[in-house]
Amino acid sequence: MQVGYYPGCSLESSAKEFDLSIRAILQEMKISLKDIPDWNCCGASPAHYLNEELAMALPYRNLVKAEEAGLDQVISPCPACYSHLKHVHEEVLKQPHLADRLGAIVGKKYGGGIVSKHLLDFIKQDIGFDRLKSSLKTPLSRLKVVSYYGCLTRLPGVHIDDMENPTLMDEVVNAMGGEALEWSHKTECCGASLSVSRTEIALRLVNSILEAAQEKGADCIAVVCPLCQSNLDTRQGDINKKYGTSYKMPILYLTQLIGLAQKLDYSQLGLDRLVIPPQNLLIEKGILEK
Amino acid sequence: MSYLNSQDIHQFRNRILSISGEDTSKCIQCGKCTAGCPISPEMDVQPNQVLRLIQVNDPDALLRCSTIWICASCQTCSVRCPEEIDIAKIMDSIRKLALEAKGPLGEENVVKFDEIFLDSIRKRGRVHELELVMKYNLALRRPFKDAQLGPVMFARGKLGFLGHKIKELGKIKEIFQNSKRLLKP
Amino acid sequence: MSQKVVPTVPGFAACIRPNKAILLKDHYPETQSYIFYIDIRAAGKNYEEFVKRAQREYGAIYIRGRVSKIYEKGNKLIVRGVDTLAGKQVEVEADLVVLATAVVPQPDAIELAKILNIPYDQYGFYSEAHPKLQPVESVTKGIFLTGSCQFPKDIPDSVATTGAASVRACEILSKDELILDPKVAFVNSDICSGCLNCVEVCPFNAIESTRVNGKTVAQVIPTLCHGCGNCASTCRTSAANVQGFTDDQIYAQVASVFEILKKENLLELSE
Repeated sequence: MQVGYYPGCSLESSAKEFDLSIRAILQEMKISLKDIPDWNCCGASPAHYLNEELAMALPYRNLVKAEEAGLDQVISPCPACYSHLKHVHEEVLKQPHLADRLGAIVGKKYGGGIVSKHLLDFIKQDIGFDRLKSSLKTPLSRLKVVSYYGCLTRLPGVHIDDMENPTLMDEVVNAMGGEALEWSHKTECCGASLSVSRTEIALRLVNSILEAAQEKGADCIAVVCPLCQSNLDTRQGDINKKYGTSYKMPILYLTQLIGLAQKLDYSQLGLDRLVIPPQNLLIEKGILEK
Repeated sequence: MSYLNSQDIHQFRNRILSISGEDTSKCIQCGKCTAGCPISPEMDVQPNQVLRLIQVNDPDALLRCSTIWICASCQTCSVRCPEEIDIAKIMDSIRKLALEAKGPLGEENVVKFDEIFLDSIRKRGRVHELELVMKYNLALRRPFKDAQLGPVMFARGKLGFLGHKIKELGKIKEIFQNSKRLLKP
Repeated sequence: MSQKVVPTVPGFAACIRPNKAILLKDHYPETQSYIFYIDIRAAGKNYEEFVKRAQREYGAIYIRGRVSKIYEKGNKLIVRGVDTLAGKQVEVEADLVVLATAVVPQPDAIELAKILNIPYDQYGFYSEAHPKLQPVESVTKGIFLTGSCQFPKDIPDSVATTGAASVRACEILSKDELILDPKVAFVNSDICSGCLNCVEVCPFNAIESTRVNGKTVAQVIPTLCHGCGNCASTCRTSAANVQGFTDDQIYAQVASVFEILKKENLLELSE
């Protein structure tokens, strides 16, 4: 099986471990990834109010490049990238004059042939839980995981799960032998880019997420978004200072958890890049050897 | 005090309708948007008040407020609104109008951040995160904000000093040049 | 996506909530009630006073705004809502949350309506023959409406409409004979081919199939018939007709109109 891949800017740097773990686990399951050649930034949040056409043209070019490379399915791990690619694809199919305009800006027309798949959808439908389970070597037994979705299920174009009470990540956790805990802050906002421009707001929000996770007795929080991971992971020190708390909650990408269950190499999964180190927890739970 | 009827009371509502496609007349002011908004405690104008001000044609406070800039676009308001109004989209529309009005902005930082973000894309085709954060903090004249995170981020290999430039950079510059802000005055 | 908005009815919720707040305070004085509302339409007799009493004498706090999320925190429930009058988000750490959910018809209400031939609205509530002049009658003769099948009804209204519906029913049952409008349909069983199309199109279930002289034919039930003429226009053999408006009678009327027009030279006929 081959599938197209659009990493997005954060997976090249601050969320490198997300990229590493996706590649590792898919390779383990004999699925090959083909990167969209010479892909560009999707435009993320800033573009759509600063320059509307740019906001659509940037993802459009990626769709064009994907088609050029002969791809038909593309996974974009970052929720924002996924939302933009999918949304632009849907809009150009609905509005031919928009398609013409974007084609003119980018210099080439997109034929409408790219199916954007979200990682979780891909795991559930294209890979399937049976195949996933058969690739596991160490079940994540007794690891209590709360799944944090952030705003993923609410983004325009992202129709993958229930908006208020999604369960896809929890299903994957359970399939891997972990214990997915139900909790109140599945979809509570982490503050997103306010982490840089209004840090105190992000600290408040992340604090309540961590508090809710800790209250449920979670060992760690699983995420599928680079920005969520960054906010939850890197800001724990600041939060502890500001609120007098003592969080040391590992924030892992779901794909890293899968990789652990497949007994892949620690640094191959980018686990050494997490700010809150998960080693002790994983050793304690028998998932890692000392 | 200017009278409510000194201008067309529907003017701003019509403006928002034409930019965003969302009709604020549908809003019954139930307040659910404000109730669910994660940023509500820090907002100067609450989300339901934003819609109210549009309904009664009072754009001035909205164009200057900080609410529209600290809105995280988490879409919680939009998905829970009983009248199915896409409030996040309306926030986005007001951002466009605020920029167009060229007056003082409620949160200059956020626009600064986003402009540096886009600039990074224009120059490289992708965002170079380290450069973005550094340029941003410099522009705000607090070069050492978040500096305490530096060592640990570096140790974890998250800093990505070099950044990447895509091959078809010329194409990207072209895209930037050809793209127009769609907002018509 | 489940239904987000349902119609509210004056009185129903407005009387229930202060009722509960007052009852609670009476039995457990240390409790504090918080009532989130958007509109209070306390339209019944003394309802408004009831609401005020709950606030003034029993300390219930009315907060104008909708609740967005309720979640567990420890052994409490956090209710996250808004006070639109104060202009801010508010949270209540509650021991007990009571949901004032919408009243909707029973799941099989529409099925029943179809059996009885009663029209219903987009929410599944039954429609009266006339909202002002016939508030307890359905369009099907002999079927009367009362209670919450029409809309969520409080006790005074339910008592009133039930009394009215009973009287209407007694009106029919107390008579030996019913006087009907003569403009009802009839079927000539000699001509009727037994196709029973008229049975299908009758909105009032007023035609049934029966056997006459060994043949299946349609037969009108005059007490149910409203004289709408659907059967007459559907009937291929002209066996079904409405009294006073048979096909022959209508043709005769049309023919005489043409005669008059011809006589007055008002008719332009193309050859």
